Order: sequence, then structure tokens, then C-alpha cells
Amino acid sequence: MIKHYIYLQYKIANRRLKSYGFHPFVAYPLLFIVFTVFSFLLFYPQIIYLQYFYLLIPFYFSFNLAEPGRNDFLKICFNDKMYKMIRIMENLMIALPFIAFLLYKRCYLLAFLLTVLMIFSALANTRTRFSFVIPTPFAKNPFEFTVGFRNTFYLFVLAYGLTVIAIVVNNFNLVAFALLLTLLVPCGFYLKPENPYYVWQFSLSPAQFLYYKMKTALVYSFRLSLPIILTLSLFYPGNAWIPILCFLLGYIFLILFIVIKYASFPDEPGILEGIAILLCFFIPPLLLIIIPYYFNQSVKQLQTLLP
Amino acid sequence: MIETVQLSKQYGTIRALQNICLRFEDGKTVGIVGENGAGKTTLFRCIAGLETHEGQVLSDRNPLKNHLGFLPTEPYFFPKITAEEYIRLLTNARGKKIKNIESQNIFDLPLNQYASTFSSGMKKKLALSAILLQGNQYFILDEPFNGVDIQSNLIITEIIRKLQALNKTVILSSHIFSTLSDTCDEIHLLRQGQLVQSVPKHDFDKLEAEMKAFSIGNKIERLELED
Repeated sequence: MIKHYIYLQYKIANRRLKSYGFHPFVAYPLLFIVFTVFSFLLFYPQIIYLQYFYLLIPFYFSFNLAEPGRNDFLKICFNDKMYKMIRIMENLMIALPFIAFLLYKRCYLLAFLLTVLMIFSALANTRTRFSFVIPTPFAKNPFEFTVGFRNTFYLFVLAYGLTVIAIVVNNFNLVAFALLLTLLVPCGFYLKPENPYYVWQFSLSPAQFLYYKMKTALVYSFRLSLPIILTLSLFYPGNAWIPILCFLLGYIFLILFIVIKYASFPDEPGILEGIAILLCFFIPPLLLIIIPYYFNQSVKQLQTLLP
Repeated sequence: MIETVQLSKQYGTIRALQNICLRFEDGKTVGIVGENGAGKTTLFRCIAGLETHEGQVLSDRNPLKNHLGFLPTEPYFFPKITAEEYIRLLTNARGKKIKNIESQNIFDLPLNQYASTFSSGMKKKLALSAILLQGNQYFILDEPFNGVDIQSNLIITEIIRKLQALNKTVILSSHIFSTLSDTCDEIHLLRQGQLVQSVPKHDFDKLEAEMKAFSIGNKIERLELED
């Protein structure tokens, strides 16, 4: 039964790749190359702390699989033992390339830690339907930051916690990492397109709509990173320009994610968009070309819903 | 006023709507009836501008969508967004600032709870509240009475009457004929994407009888139910 389930998932993955315009024979080697290059770059010795992101990536993907509706469906189809096996297997399949690379890099402890955490998260079923409402400072203009913050609040707790630790041990790089974390996590809030009904509601032109989204992202990402920016400026006044630069760069990436999301709206961004983001990540000057390009694409794409 | 001129919609080889010509005057409540798949929701989505289509949708307020409140059959809610945040999202989108949502919460919904955890009836009431607070001129209500309790049904009926008194245009569909006969000035019957009949208020009983005869026919006998 599990064998059939895996085969079905494989078929679904292939269909998705084809819908993005890639034949699986091309897509899989391409993904392997992108993954390998990305992994080597993250582990490049001079990029301090960036490799910690490496552990977060498989977690992000596994988070999508922990959707309550999906899990309820699996529980209906399979018995408890089978369900747990499937969830563990899915999480480990996501983590497998990352674990392999960590082993290759001889980071045995991290590889072991990632394996254990992925198994634990599969069994813990993180996204339960708990009714406790997590307060946010974004009530005035919902929804991306409101929903995103509630889904990833633990990462912000981690970032603020790291800031305190970094100040105690006097580690500037660690605070800078925490700041980057608060800036890059909100980019993920713009990965999934919303129901077109919510875009249709706006009495704005496509360009005005995009500017509204950018303005909201600027104000709210600033609110999230302000405690760390202030801490850095207070404890490292000589390096005050670094947090400002980090914030600006993080904000530009947020704009990139916004325009890329609406460029393919109402569909999800495809592999090409993913490659564009990766290219900008490693060659930031490309942002000057890619953002205006996708902005124009977004305006065209939104024309039907926002005439 | 909203007018559809030769409105057609095709999904692949399936013609979902065929040359629909309708006029919805200000201050009128108009019902759209038809079997499942007759094209009611497609018609609503085309008027709202949520679907591309052939033909025209005209209105004396442009763009129409900025003055239109659309209640879908099954309103969609983001996970982890409260009812109050949902209302704020929709009212903000129309540039309308609501100061005291609590006092306008006529359905007594738990505004501080996640909307996605609501029952289907509560979701419908929340979505209706939000489009009412947007201050629209036109309303499309796709099965507003579905899944809603009796008390709320009465409130919704009164809301529709109030909108009518305020010279607003309401277009609605329902599978419960009595809810339409209570509120509508006119009812249009759709069958397989075509407008087959338009009936004024004084002929509603006749329409109901015709629909019964057409829909039921001898179908129950075909079941061959026994003692």
C-alpha cells in the first residue's frame, strides 16, 4: 500500500513539474545541480552562520506536508501505524539530500540532528488546529504578515533569543544572523498565492495594488526587525550601517518575492521564478533587472482582476 | 443598474453560459434559479469580473467590481486569521475604515477566533457581514441561506429587504424557493447555461409549480419504493 502511495506522490510531482513547463528528465538533473551549487555556496567558509539556514530549508518544506486537512485525509485512508510511517518517510525523503550533503561535509552531528528532528516533527504533527489566537502587531492591515507570523512565530522567538545570547557573549555576527533571519522569513509569507477573490476585493489598479503590498511589507518587516536593529545600533554603534544595509537588502528581497508571486498569479511561482530568486541571492545586482521585469509581468497578470 | 449583454462563457467544449441578456435595476432584488450546474455561479462570477467571458457587463458605476459585494457559495478563509481581521481585510481593500466592528456584529460571531475554525453557517454570516460593511451599491449573494440557522435566515431576509429599501441592487440564488419568493421582485430561470424564463413576483407560484413538475416528474416512481 505504501509503495502505491509513493508511486502516486511521484506521479503528482511529475505532473507538477510538467505544469511548470519542465519534463521530469530535465527537471530532476536541474534540481540536483541547483541544490548542489546552492549547498556548496552556503557552506562556503567565509559566509558565516549562513549554513544554519540549511537546516531550516527541509523544515520549511516539511511544514507544507503537515497541513491538518492533508493529515486528516491520510488518517482516514491509513491506519495509525501506516500513517506514522508515511509521515516519517515523507519528511525523511525531503531531508535526504540535505542529510547526504551534511554527511559529505562531515557534519555528522548536524546530519543526525536533522534526521531526529524530521522524525520528531512528522510524529508531532506541528500544524494542529489549536484555537489559541497568537497576537500580532499587524491587525491593521492583515493578511500576509498576520498569517505568516502566526505560522513561523517560533523563528522570531529564536531570532530575538539569539540576539540576547549574542549580546551576552559579544558576538556581532550572531546578531547579524538574527537580523537576517527576521528579514528573510517574511519572504516566505509571499510564496503561496491567495484565492483570487482576495485580490479582486481591492479597489486599486494593479500597480497601486503592488505598491500597497510593498508599503505594508516595508512597515511590517521594519516592525519585526526593529528590536534587533536597535540592539545592534546600541551595542555596536560603530557598525550601525550594517543593520541598515541588511534591512534595505532584506526589504528589496521582499519586493522581489511580492512581484514574483503576482507575476504568475493565480498559479504558484514556477521553477524559473525559483531560479531567478536564487540568482538574485548570489548576484544581488540582478535585482535591478529582475524586479522591474516581474513588476511589469505582475501588472499584466493582475489586469483581469483589477481592471 | 447592472446589465449583461450577450454574456457567454465556455469551459473547453462545455458552454456554461449562452448569450445571457439581463438587466438588474437599482432597488430591485432579483433571484436566479436553476439546477446544479445550470450556470448560476458562473453567471455571478462573470458579472463580478472573476471570470473572463464573451459579451458585456455594463453598469452605471465603473468599475463595477469596486461597488459590488460578492458572497460566494463557499467563502474561503485563510487559516490563522481571525474573524475581525477578515472583516478588516475586506473593508480595507475598499478603502473603508471601520471603527467599531463589535457593535456591527449583528450575527454575534466570535470575532477574536480563527475564521477557518467556524462552521459553514458561521463562515457564511461572517462573509456576508464583511461585504455589508464594505458599503457596496450592488450585491451578489450566491446561496446566502445555505447552512445558516433559522434565526440568521430571518435576519438575512430582513437585510435583503433593507438593502432594497436603500435602493441597492441585490442578485441572489437559493435552492429554497420560499426564501426567493419572500424577497425577490423577479426570478430568472437558468437551464444548461441558457436563460429560459423570467418571472415577475405575481407569477412566482406558477414558476414553483412548473419547476416542481419539470424537476420531479415521475422520478420518485422510478425508485419503485415499496411498503
